[in-house]
Amino acid sequence: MKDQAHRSPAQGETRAQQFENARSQAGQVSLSGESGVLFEQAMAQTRMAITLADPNREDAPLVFVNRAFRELTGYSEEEIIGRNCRFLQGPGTDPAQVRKLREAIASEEVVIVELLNYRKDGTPFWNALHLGPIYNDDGSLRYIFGSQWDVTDVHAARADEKHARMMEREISHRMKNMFAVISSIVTMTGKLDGAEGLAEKINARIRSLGRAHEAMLEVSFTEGPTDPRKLFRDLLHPYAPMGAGSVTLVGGKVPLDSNVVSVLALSLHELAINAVKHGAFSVPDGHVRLDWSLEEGPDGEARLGLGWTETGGPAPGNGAARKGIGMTIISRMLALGEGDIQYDWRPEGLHVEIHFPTSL
Amino acid sequence: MNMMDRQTDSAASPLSGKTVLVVEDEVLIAMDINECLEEAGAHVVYGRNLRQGMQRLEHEVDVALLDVSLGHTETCLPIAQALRERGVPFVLHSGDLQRLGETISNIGAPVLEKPCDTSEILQALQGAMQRVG
Ligand SMILES: Cc1cc2nc3c(=O)[nH]c(=O)nc-3n(C[C@H](O)[C@H](O)[C@H](O)COP(=O)(O)O)c2cc1C
Repeated sequence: MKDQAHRSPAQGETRAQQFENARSQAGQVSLSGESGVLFEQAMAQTRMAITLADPNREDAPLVFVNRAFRELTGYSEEEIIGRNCRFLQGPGTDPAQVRKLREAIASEEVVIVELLNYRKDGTPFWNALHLGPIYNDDGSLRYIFGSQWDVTDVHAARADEKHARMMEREISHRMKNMFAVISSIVTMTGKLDGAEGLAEKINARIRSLGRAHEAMLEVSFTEGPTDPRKLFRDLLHPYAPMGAGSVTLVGGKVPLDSNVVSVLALSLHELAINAVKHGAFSVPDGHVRLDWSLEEGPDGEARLGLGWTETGGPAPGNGAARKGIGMTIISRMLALGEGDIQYDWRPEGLHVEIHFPTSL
Repeated sequence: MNMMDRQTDSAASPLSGKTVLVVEDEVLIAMDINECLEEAGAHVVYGRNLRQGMQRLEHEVDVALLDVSLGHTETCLPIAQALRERGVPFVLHSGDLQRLGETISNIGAPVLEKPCDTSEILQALQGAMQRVG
């Protein structure tokens, strides 16, 4: 028991276990005499702030606090002992949490709350406060045991995360609107100029861009490699005759810059509408396999390699004749970004290889 | 802007025969800009990031269009400084005036806000050349 008390809490121990251990130790010693000294030594070792209050005295004053508590709050022993611990509370403390404490103390229950407290110098901190009763052998209430843990960091991280999620939703919302507005302008202008066909072609490309950026938003706020599967799925399924059943996606996570996404989206859009017109997506049984992987470019730059393989569609005729405006756009766009595209009109279907830098 | 306008522009364009450095990290935007410049008779040297933009400075350029933010963390600042040392006029192009406001005002060059019409870009580049030459 004494050995244990001198050990600082083991790594794997949860706070609840630490709390229970410390509480049972506190219950087995008196605060005066030999065992009291040992108890104080033990409590001085731990990084967990520990407090004992005497519920049998007027307003349950603190009768013991350890070093960790003094360091956490900035108060000295003389400023603490004999006072109710509510002196840590202040204007930002949530009264509902304080009520929980009051009720738990009155009903002699264990309680955990997180509430805003203030140090002696006035700086606020988030306190994960754990309270529980300690009983005498005869079952009467002897102390209330409390342990405090500074969780300000955790709170800040949670608040950041919440804020980031809010921003993401807002951006996503605005982006959708923006793409919708652009689409309407194109449609309206097309109608007025008698160029509805052209307007629809432009709009199809804009929609693909919108879908791609929307899919990327969900993943791209985190740094590092992202799984482009959702992006590819959102881009291709609208054109696939049997939706997911017509498309096989093979590949892992890859680093993708947001400015690569436009290039990727437009390239896949052109391949998909070409497949709808002449290739695998023109028949119910047609299939497209899209695989991707990271590779190293000529000057050591990370590149993305994409393979597009159509099967089950009509046999491709004269390949060059099929290179429409869309294909021309992709070729030029990729060339400018130091990528390339190769077409192979195999009898079983078109095969395309695209390579370009992951960061343009 | 339609094809007719571009063709009538190009004959008389002050950019005709000039070499223009374009640094822009959105390939699609670069494609559009480069084509317009070429239609105006200019010769375009293009860099799609800071490293390439710096490399392209080996060419003699008459004027430059610089996207301010290049990739995640880089800006065109080093290119702008190099151009200034050589007395080459340039125009900044940015979609993020709010966040980059300070960088931009430190560079102290004409600024175009994205998205802008390619005719505005041509005009701004011409204006920048006139002010120097
Ligand atoms: C042992 C013990 C430790 C306590 N530690 C804290 C503390 O660190 N921070 C805090 O805000 N309240 C703490 N309290 C709670 C307050 O002392 C008080 O019980 C609470 O504010 C509810 O009572 P009230 O409504 O009368 O203020 C502690 C209470 C006990 C018994």
